[in-house]
Amino acid sequence: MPVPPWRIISVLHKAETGPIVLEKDFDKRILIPNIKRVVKEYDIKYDPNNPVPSDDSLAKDVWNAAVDLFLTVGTYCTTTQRRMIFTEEELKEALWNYNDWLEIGEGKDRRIWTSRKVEDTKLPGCLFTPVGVRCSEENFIHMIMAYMQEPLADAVSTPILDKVEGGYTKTHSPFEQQGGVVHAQYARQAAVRVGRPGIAIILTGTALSAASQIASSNPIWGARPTDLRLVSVISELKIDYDLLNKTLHFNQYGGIIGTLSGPLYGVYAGIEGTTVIGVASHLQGLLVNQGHFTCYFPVHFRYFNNTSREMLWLVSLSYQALANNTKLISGSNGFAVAGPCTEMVLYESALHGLVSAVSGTAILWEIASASNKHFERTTPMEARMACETGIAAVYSKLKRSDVNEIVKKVLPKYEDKIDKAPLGKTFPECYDVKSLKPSDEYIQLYKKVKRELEDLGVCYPY
Amino acid sequence: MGQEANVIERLRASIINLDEEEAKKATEEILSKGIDVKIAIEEGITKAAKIIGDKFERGEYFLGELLVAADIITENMNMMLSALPEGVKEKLGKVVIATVYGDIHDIGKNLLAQLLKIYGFEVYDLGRDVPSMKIVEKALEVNADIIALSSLMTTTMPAQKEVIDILKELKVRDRFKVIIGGGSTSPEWAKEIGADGWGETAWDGVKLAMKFVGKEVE
Repeated sequence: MPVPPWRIISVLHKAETGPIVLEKDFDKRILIPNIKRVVKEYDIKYDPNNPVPSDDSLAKDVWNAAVDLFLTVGTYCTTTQRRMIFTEEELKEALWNYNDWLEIGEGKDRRIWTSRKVEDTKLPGCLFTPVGVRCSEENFIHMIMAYMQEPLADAVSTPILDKVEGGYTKTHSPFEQQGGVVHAQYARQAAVRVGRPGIAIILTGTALSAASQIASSNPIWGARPTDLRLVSVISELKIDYDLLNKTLHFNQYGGIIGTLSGPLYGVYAGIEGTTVIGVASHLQGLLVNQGHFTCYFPVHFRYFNNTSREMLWLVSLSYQALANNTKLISGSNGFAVAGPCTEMVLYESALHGLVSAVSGTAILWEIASASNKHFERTTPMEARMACETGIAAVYSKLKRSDVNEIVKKVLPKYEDKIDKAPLGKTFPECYDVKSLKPSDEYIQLYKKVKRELEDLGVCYPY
Repeated sequence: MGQEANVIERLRASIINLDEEEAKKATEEILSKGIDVKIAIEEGITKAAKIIGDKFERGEYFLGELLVAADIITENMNMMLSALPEGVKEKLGKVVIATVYGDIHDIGKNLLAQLLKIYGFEVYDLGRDVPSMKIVEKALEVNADIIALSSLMTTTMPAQKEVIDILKELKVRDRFKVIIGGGSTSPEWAKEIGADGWGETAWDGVKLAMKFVGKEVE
């Protein structure tokens, strides 16, 4: 089954010929009223007492609401100020023909990712990521190597190269393009140095614009067709021509495309509406962004995390809606508010992995630390905790109801600290940067939290 | 006085309830009865703005409500201001706001722009992906009090620094308060680039802007 791409030329025409509407009117008169309408019509209600719901009919309602929302509203192209409208038939065709497995990386480092169902006994894939944290050129390769050497990592993402040749890698400047090229070269070098030359790498974070992304595509020294490339959904349900240019290039280069979808809770809607937007953005991801998979990172607009009670509900319900009704391969991207080498970040990471895995995510995509905004404040330990716990949930054959009880016991350990979370330590402060070893302090914390989770019924295979 | 308070209360309630028609009727009544416009603005519009801000902060109102509220407040404020003599028609201050060059994410910027309008600032919203020099030119042209710069992406944060560097190079840095925000930014970054303030949220941005024009948010 060849999708994506799905009728890519027809998609380009939709951006040129759809109905014109000013962006403010799209938000105010089309998008927001329809979010409110579907939440009410499909009677979607948040239940704080059950952060991991087991109600399949609720998941079905979320799915139906998301389809209704997407087919009514469409995707807004901010460049042409036109709505790209899709029919139900088009959506069904794309969903039916979607390829539900994905080959990433190459050689011995090649991996297969497949879609999963709710409470699936099939293990999810794992992607280890420092997300968008800025990193110095001095520590860049070592940070990537630290992530790549994690045995559970099928693929990795890489941090943002802060400066190159003395200049900030500022978007649209030549330093961005230079940074993108150097970034890709360093990432390849890191892969060779840890003995995983063919590992799939998300490239190229430092290159935000289409032009710089294209410049970093190179099968020898740069982003290969077997690597993973990302195209964002602009929040909410929007796209622009620079992003569509990326989609075209990645497809024509033969790359594997991921849709970046990060709906913001508290801006366009409350928790129920944001859940619907999140599922609907997967439909845009398939039809407009032409994503082979999705990197899904719904976040609270203030704290930039998805580890609170209501955000875990959103994550769980989104995945249940998607897994019960589609074959889409979606990676659940955690965002923690606490920083590395704190108990809190380990609890947050563990719960995100646990909830995502049992709810049907295809890939544990773990995890941003310290709200993804502090220089070099991320390490592979947080991702290790999240992925190992998600894998353990499946290995232990936990059900949603089991995970719901565990979440209810662990959440009180940190949920009142979300607005004053500890920043923790930077990568060089809690890792030996050269030997790539985490500090004893961090290892002890990690073991302690794992023991606590074991006591709650999470059986780790090792 | 009872009648005055009653109609002002109606104005306040209708703004909070996002009832455009009722708000307009109340303002027309205030003007036709010769009620003190300054009191009506303070007790009706400003207090409604504060409550709308609180509702947004508590997660009861979202962007949609802010868009509607900002339109209602602007319309009614303009009606009130047209009844005042020229010298009294003062806004709290002028803010030039933009999402910086290279960044297409403008939700945070839009929220702050709407809240600032609701609070009575004169807002020049330049949109997203705005070249640094264009932001500086606009701030100089309108003699802004505050420049507000948003950046979501890590690789567009340096454009916030660029705006400040240009202001320094043109020797006009002291004429403006520069506040920054956005998902990838942090207090350390604000300090590193010499911004006057950092806001984690749009609401923090309002508090900073109010502080810079000598007002406090209750």
